[in-house]
Amino acid sequence: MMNSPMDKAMDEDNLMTISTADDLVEYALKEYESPLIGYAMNILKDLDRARDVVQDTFIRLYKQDVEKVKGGLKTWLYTVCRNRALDVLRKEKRMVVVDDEMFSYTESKELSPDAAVDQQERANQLMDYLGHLTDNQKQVIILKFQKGMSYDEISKETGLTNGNVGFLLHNGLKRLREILPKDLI
Amino acid sequence: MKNKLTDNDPRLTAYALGELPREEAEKISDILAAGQNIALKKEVESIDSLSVMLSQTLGSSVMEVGGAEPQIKLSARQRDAIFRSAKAPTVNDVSSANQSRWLRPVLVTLGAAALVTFSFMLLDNVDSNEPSVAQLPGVSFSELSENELHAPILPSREAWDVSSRGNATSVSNQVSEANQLLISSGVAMDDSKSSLSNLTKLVENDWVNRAESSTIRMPMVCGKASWNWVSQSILKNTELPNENVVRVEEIINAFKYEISTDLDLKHASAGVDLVRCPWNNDNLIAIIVVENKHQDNIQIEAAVSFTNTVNKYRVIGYSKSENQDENLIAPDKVTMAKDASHIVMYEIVPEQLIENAADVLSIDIRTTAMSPDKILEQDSKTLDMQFSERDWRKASQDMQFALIMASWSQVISGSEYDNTMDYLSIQEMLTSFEGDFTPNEEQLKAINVLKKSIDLIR
Repeated sequence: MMNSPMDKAMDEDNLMTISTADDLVEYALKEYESPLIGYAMNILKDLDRARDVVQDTFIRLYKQDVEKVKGGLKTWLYTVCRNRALDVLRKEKRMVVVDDEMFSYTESKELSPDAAVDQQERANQLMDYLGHLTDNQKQVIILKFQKGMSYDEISKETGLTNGNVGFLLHNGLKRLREILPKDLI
Repeated sequence: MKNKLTDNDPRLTAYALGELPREEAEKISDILAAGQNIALKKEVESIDSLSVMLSQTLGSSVMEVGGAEPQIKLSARQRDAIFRSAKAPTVNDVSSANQSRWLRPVLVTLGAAALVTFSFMLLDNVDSNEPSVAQLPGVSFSELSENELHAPILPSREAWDVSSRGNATSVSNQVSEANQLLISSGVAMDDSKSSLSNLTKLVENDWVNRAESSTIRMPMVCGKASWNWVSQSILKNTELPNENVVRVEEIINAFKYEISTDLDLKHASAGVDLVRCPWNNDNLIAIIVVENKHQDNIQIEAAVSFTNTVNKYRVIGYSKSENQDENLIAPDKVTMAKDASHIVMYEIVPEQLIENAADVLSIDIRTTAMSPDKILEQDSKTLDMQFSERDWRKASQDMQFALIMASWSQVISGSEYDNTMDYLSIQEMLTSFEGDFTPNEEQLKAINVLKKSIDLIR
């Protein structure tokens, strides 16, 4: 979910008021969980390992002095995440050619033409199956997984209660699991 | 929880998607962990798999039209592990199907980038004084960019011709000359005692968190003046030296060490050891000795990478000057004279549950043989070091001697990092050493200095 500049400024203000490791980790998860997974994915080319690395990065964050790290939280998270990802590469490939461009925060996400076609076909197929759900179920699933919104954000967007959002997602996902072919999951 | 949790409960979906408040998530986590709730666990895993697929597929479809990247989250299990780590913060909290693949690596998976792998004997009934060594041909030096490295800081020395970082220098040759040795500690041997008051205070290197900096350049240069100064202070002036003239790296490098060749390059060799730390048995000491065995000078550079079995580490010695202007970044490469050698020690705080045979660190060494006007030949290899439970007294004679000198140097320099080590501990180390070995002439002279220093305390 992309924050507006105002949201971002408010988030940064909130960050500076944080004084406990619990709150810092919770904040960091909210802001950086998905971007870090994407970043680690770019290095590792493997989602499972990327999630492992990000998990370990947040575990490391717990051990830090909150006051020292919160000022440079983003840099700290990306640095640790990168080092952990490099560790994995070193272990599994036994060494890696370190290319600074490889670790750019703004690396191109463009897919190869073949992969892009596959991806699009898969997305079209998925959209067909989403058509079997109720409109509300389909809407909250799109907002949740395509836009990356939280329950609260979906609630504000749709006017549904938070509980309703959870109920619709639960039933929508359950229905999808029933109808989706196994090779698509 | 208000109601019994079933596999058709929206709270389970919210939990899997990371949408529950932390307290409620912890309660569900406890329910999942406590009993044999296989159906519930499977449900959570199933929701997680589906949510990853949906994020990837739907997220990628919007990326194609300039939208945000896929919003993939951690699994509920991983999120739990993060919050639980606050209660027992160790790396072992990592929960992953892939854990064994990278947290607990097998010994050797070399593949195309062949490495030299070095493994200590693991079993109690095996003589572990001589580590087993398996060598494979090295193919490439880790191409670590300079920006990736935490370079050692050295106090500036006027005699060094270090024009810029990365340039080859002739440090090893220069520091072997007596006059320049004296400069290297900032004190001339014939200076009066009053000059001591002008010494810059030395500041020890602090621990480096491995998660923040896992690879560093290995310092390959230092002077040797400190040993001369310190020993003369004790023997001639019969007083303990000012702690600011005590440079641990210079003292341990004032001696020649016989090493086992664990890493054999065309122009150089390296010997390594990994033992329990004499001043803190919870920690490890990695000892690395590099030697030029070529018939001429060689350029040499080295880097050390610590694995995730290491929590933090510090290089022993190489204290910085309190005056920042007197510090400089060590050169990447140095020219090492024929038969010259260099020893470096790292104190390592391992993770709590380090296992035998787990990789601890690897050393990359790159050498270039030179003639006066051209580069002749390059070689590079990597050496992996694995953990085994090994007391420092199991090290070779020369490595034990080096450890005694390092321990003593830290004591007389008033190190903050040597735990409970004191002169009595040094006495005990010497007693053990002399009981096990016959010291050579150089070692005997050094031991005499150490014993005199102990007498001065008494």
